[in-house]
Amino acid sequence: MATITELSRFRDRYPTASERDQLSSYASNIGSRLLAVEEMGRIEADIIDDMMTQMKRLYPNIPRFHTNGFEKGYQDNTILLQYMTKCMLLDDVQFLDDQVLTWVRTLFKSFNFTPKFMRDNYTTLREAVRRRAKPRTFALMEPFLNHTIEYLSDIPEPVRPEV
Amino acid sequence: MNPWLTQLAHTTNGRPFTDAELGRIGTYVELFPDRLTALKKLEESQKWLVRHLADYIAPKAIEWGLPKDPFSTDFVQFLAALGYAMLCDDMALVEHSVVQPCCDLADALEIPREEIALLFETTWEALSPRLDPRSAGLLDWYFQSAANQLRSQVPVGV
Repeated sequence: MATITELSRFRDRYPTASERDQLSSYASNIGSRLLAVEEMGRIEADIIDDMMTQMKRLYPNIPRFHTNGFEKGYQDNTILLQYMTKCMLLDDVQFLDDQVLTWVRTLFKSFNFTPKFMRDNYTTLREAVRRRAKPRTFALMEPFLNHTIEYLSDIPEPVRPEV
Repeated sequence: MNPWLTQLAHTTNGRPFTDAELGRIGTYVELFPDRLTALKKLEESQKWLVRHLADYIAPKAIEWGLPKDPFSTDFVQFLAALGYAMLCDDMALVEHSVVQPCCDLADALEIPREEIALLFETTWEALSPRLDPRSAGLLDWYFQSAANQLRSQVPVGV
């Protein structure tokens, strides 16, 4: 799929008709994406508060295993949501993998998080976005939220879970 | 060398885009279909450009002491690189992908760089009337910039 951040593929050749169509379609939608970025910036703190409230209820023992676990959760989920918003603007899921999800998954495996914890965390984040954002904004964010759920919950079950 | 938008996306890790960055992205992407159209027009002109350049360069080659037209086809590739810079809205790519390779070629063939600059200008004079005004308007800046940069580059050792 041709994306606006991968124009270097046209350094040595012209875009095909299909690539031109993909890029034109993306460009025609940029106004909605910019509005969605603006809204996400405005409601980001509420979304994270909402999801962390749920996660504290679902996983009250996190601080026993991870010092400042919930505080770090606020910070990490905020950063990840900002990445997803940026990738929504650029309409580039590969960029999300390359820039953040690959190394984040490695990091979270080392914390002995379970696949279920990961799925719960990012599903809770998605549902908080669904509740807080306008439907149009959620529709643009949803593919990136869903991708993050699947990508980050694809980890092995730890020998000694710490959740 | 990556275009400005790719560089921006990669160098803003850990923070959202600023309002100024979002404004630049929005303006660029809104006009992107026009840039795609201009690039398509350039692509459609390739065969014609090779013939046009061959007619122009053949007599010049004798002046340059070369046995035959040395680079009509290659020069059309430089024009494609110019189109790529226009698509990316990135003038830095003109120097990197067009001017520097043209300088290297001119120096290797011992052709004055001024001749290559003139070649860009002559090509543009012939090509621009064949384009729609919007496409011509987008490409004009890049052709002029390539010619100007070629003139301002000082050859190594001078």
